[in-house]
Amino acid sequence: MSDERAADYREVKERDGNFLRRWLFKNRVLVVLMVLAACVSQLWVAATPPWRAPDEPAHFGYLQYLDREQAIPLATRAYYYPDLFESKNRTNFMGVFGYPSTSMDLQTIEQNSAAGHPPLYYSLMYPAYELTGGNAVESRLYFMRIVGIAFFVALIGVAYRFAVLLFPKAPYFQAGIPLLMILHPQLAFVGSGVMNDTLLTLFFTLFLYQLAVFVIKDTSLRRALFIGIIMGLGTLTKISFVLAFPVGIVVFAALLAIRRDQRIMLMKAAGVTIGVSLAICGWYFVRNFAELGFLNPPGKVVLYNVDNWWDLWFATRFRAVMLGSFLGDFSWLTIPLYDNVLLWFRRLTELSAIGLLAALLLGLWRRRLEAIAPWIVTLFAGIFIAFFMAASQFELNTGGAQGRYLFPAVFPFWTLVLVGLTGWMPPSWRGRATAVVVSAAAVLSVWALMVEYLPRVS
Amino acid sequence: MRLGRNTWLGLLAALLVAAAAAVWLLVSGFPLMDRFQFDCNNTLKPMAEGHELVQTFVAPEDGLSRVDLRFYENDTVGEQDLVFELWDVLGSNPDGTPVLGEKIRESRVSSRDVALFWMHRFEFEPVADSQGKTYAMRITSSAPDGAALRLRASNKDVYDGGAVFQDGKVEDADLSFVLFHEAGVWQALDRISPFRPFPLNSAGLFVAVFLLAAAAFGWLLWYIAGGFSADTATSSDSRSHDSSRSCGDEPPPGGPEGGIGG
Repeated sequence: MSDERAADYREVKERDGNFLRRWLFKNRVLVVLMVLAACVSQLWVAATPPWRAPDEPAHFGYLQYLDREQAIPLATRAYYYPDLFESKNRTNFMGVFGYPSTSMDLQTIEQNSAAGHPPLYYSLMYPAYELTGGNAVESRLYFMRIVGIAFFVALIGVAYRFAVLLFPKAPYFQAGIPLLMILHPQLAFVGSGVMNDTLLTLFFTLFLYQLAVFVIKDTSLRRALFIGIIMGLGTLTKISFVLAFPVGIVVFAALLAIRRDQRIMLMKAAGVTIGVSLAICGWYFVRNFAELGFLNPPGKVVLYNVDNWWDLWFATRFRAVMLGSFLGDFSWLTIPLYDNVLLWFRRLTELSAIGLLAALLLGLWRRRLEAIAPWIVTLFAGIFIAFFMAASQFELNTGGAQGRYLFPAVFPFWTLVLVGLTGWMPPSWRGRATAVVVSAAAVLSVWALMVEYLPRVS
Repeated sequence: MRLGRNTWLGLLAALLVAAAAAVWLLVSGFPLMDRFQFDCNNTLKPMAEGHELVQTFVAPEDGLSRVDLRFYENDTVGEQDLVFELWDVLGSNPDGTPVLGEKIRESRVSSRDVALFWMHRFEFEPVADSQGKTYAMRITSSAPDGAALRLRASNKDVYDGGAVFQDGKVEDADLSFVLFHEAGVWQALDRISPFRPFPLNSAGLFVAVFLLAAAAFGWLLWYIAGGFSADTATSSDSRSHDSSRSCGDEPPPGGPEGGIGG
C-alpha cells in the first residue's frame, strides 16, 4: 500500500468510532452536492424580490386561504386577500415594468389562480407558515422560501442516488448530472420561490428512480407499493404529475412482454401501484368534481392563435419561448437571457443529440465502451417528449405554457445531454470532458445570477 | 487526525475555485439597471438611411455603460449597419430639439445580430461622471427605404427625463429603453436589502454563501475530473472493515462500463 493510500486508510479508521463522520465520509459527494444546492438556492432566494417568482402571490395566497378559512380552496371560489395587495403596493410590484410606484385597490376582487392546485405542497408548508405568524407578510414570504429550499436539496439528493443507480461505474456522471441540475438557472430560480413546481419535480424524479429500481433489481410488491405512494403524493402536488401514469403503464407493459415468467407478479404490482396511488389522491378530484362539476376551470389565454400542434411548433414562437423559459428567462422580472446564450444552448443540445446517437452506436459496437443503455435513452427521451407535448396541449387548451412545465423531466434531460456530450468519447476521457461541461454550466449559472439577474432586481 | 494527500488535493481545488470567485467578485463591474421605460405599444417609422432617431434622457447614476432598446421586427433583406451613438446634450433649441455637443460613445451592430425577440443591448465604456447629466442616444442605419428596422416606443410621452425626435421633429412618444451603469459588487448587493428579513438582506452573508458554493463546486470539479479514482480506491479500503456501504460505493455489477446493460 502506498503512503498516500495508507494515510487515507488511517483517516477512515480514525473515523470508525463516529457514525456521523463515517456516514459523511462515505457520502461526501452527496453531502457536497446538497450543500451546493442549498447555497445556490439561498442565493436565488435572497436575490429575488418579493412576489417575483412565477405566480408567487397566488401560491402564497393559497397558504393564506388555508390559514384563514381552514379549508382546501376550490378553483374559481378563492380570492386574494387585501394584505397581499397592500404588500404589492409597498414593495412596488409594478416596478419591474418601470413604474415608480404600484397602486392596487385593496378592495379588488380577484380570483386566486392557484386555487385549482392540489393541496400537498401547501399542507407541507403550512406549519412553517403558522410558525411565522405576527411577522410582516414579506418576512413570512422569505421564510417560506427558505423552507422550500429543502425540496430543492432533496431533489438533488434523489438525482444523485438515481445517477448512481444508472451509472454505477461512472462517478463523473453520478456527480455531473445533479450538478448540472443545480447550475440550471431557471430550475434554481423556480426552486427558490413559494410554488409547487420543485416538489412536483422531486416526486417525479423519485418516481422515475423507484421505477428504475423496480426494473433493475427489485421487482417486489413492496417496491410497487412505494411507487404507488409516490404517484399518489405527486398527483396531490400538481396535476401535471398524472403523466407518471402513462409512463408507468408503458414500463409495466414492456416488462410484461419481456419477463414472461413474472407476469402474475407484475400484474399484482401494477394493481397495487395504481390502487394505492388512486386511494391517496382520488378523493381530491372526486371532491372537486362533486363541488364544481369540472376538474379544470374553463377559460383560455390566446397567445398564438393556432389550433394544432404543427402550427404551434413551426409557425409561432412557441418553441423559442419554451427554450428560453426552460433555461432561464425569469419572466416575472422581465429578465430574459441574452439571445446568443439561448442560441448556444440550443446548439449544444442539438450537438448532444448527435453525440448520444454516437454513444449508442459505440456501445453496440463494443459493450465495454457503452455509456448508457438504449432502454434508458428511449425511456428518458420519451418522457421529455411527452412533457413537451403535454405543454403544447396545455398551450392549445388553456394558454401560457412555460419551459418550467418541462421540469419534471429535468433529470432525464440533463442525463441525455451530458451523456450525449461526453459519452461518445473513450471512457478515460469522459471524466475530464464532464468537468469541462459542468464548468461551462457554472459560468452560465453565475453569469445568469450575478450579471443578468441581480443587477436588475430592485 | 491526519488527512491523506487526496483529501488535501480536493480541499486545494475547493480553495482555488473559491479564491478565483472572490477575485472575480472584487474586480468585476456589474451592469446595474437604473431606469426601465417599459411601455412599448407603438412602433416608430422605419430607420432607413438618411434618417435619424434621437432620444434624450438623464443618466441617474455615474458609470453609464449600457442602453437596451426594443426593436419591432427584422423584415430586411440583406445586412445593414445600425449605429448607436451617445452624445452630450448642451441645451435645447427654441423648437425643443436638443443641441448636441460631443459624441462620447459609439456602438455598431449588424442588423443580423439585432436581438428582436428581447431587447438589444448597446454596451460601451462606462461614462465616469454621468449622474444627473442629459444625454442623447442617436440611432442611424444604412438600410434602404422599405427594408429598415423599427424601434418600439410608447404611444404617448411617458418619460419625464427626455423626449424622442425623429428627423428633428419631436414625437409624442418615448423609446422603450433601459439604462444601466457599471458598479462594484457591494453596490450590486445593495439591491437585496429591501424587504428581506435579517440575515437574508446582508451582503456579507450573500458573499459568504457565494464563496462556500464556489468551494463546493471546486471540490466537485476535482472529483469529476479524476479525483474520483483516488476516492474510489479509498472507499475500497474502507469497505474492508465496514459492511454498511452507501449506494455510491457499491462495487459495479457485471454490466458495461458506466451504464446498465439492457
